[in-house]
Amino acid sequence: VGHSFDAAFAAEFAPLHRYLARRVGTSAADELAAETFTVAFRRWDRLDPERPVRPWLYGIAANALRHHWRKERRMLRAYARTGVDPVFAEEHPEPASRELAAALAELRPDEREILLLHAWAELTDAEIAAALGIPAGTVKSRLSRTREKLRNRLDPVGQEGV
Amino acid sequence: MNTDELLTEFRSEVALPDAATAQRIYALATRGRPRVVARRRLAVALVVVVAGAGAALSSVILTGGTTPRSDGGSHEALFDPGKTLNPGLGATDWSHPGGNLSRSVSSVAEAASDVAFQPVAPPSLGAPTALALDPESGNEQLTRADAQLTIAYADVANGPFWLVERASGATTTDTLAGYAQECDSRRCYGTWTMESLDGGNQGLLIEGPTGSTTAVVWVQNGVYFNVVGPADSFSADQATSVANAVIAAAG
Repeated sequence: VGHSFDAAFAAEFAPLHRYLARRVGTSAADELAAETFTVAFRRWDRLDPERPVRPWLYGIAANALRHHWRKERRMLRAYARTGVDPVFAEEHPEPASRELAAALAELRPDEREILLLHAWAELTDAEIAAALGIPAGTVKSRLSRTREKLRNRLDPVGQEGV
Repeated sequence: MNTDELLTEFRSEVALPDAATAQRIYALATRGRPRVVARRRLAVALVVVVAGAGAALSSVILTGGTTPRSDGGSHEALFDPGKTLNPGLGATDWSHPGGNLSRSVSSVAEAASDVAFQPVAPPSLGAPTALALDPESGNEQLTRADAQLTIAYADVANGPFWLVERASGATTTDTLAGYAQECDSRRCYGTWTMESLDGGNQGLLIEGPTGSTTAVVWVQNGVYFNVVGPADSFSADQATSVANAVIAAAG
């Protein structure tokens, strides 16, 4: 609703940067956040005043992230293999986290995108749909499938609830 | 710990960026903005981005999350961005629809050949002051499927407002209802409600605070319509009345 670019930057920059840093590390997050807000600034005049800004920004960020999918997967695999998360360059030896890193690396990029927009960016199904330009029903079904895949991967005997 | 909890905790130690990073990236993103304006806005933006970081963290804390701040300090709910930020900072030139990359057209008839829907300009709204064709946000190239027509009006009764039209694409009435349901004061400015319009149509009424906008958005026969004007002069009743005029013309 008539957001100004500055207001949107103020409200969304920090959480968006943190989300990106969780995906691909702080250095790449700087680059991706800069790209996201540069594109947003250039297109600002063309944004419908009523259109929620948050999913629009995460949609731009998702496009920018596509060029980092392989890097993200490499980082997750490296973490799973070594116990050293490249995002921190520190050791995180918890077996469950390493298993999760391996499971995330095995997901298809679009599955990982939807899952992490939901879990880390805390976007609703409707916001994810708006961000990625796909129907909300598709988001819901893919999210459900991906969570089940993750659960089965991490807990093959089905002892845990999600 | 179940899968969802594990996922939430995964890399949750990643800190929010500091103010210097915010300043640097803001400057990068807004390169080319006139310097005087940039300085004034940067000051405002940096004040709120720091507070915004606090608010984001406070929401984590309030919901039981465990995200630590890089300096290890504690957090309080500093402000509610939806109430505190001034959405009127980026003033809209209502006589100039579209952006710098939009293309002016002289009439609805001229626009009709470049869009994937039948554009509507109700005679009862009077003569438009300007028309612009624009790609939908997120698309670099103007294609018929993406093209958006913005018609600017300025009449004695309603003041300036725009009628925005494009092929509805993935946007449905349910999408709009979802926005109405999910937009709270932290995520969206103003009040978002679904309202009954003429002809059995349901529209999203957005009543923004002073300095922002009033809008009615609906989907009719595969076309997305948005009637939007400055909240200071364009009331919800006026927006609804204009929307109903468009609905009648769109038949």
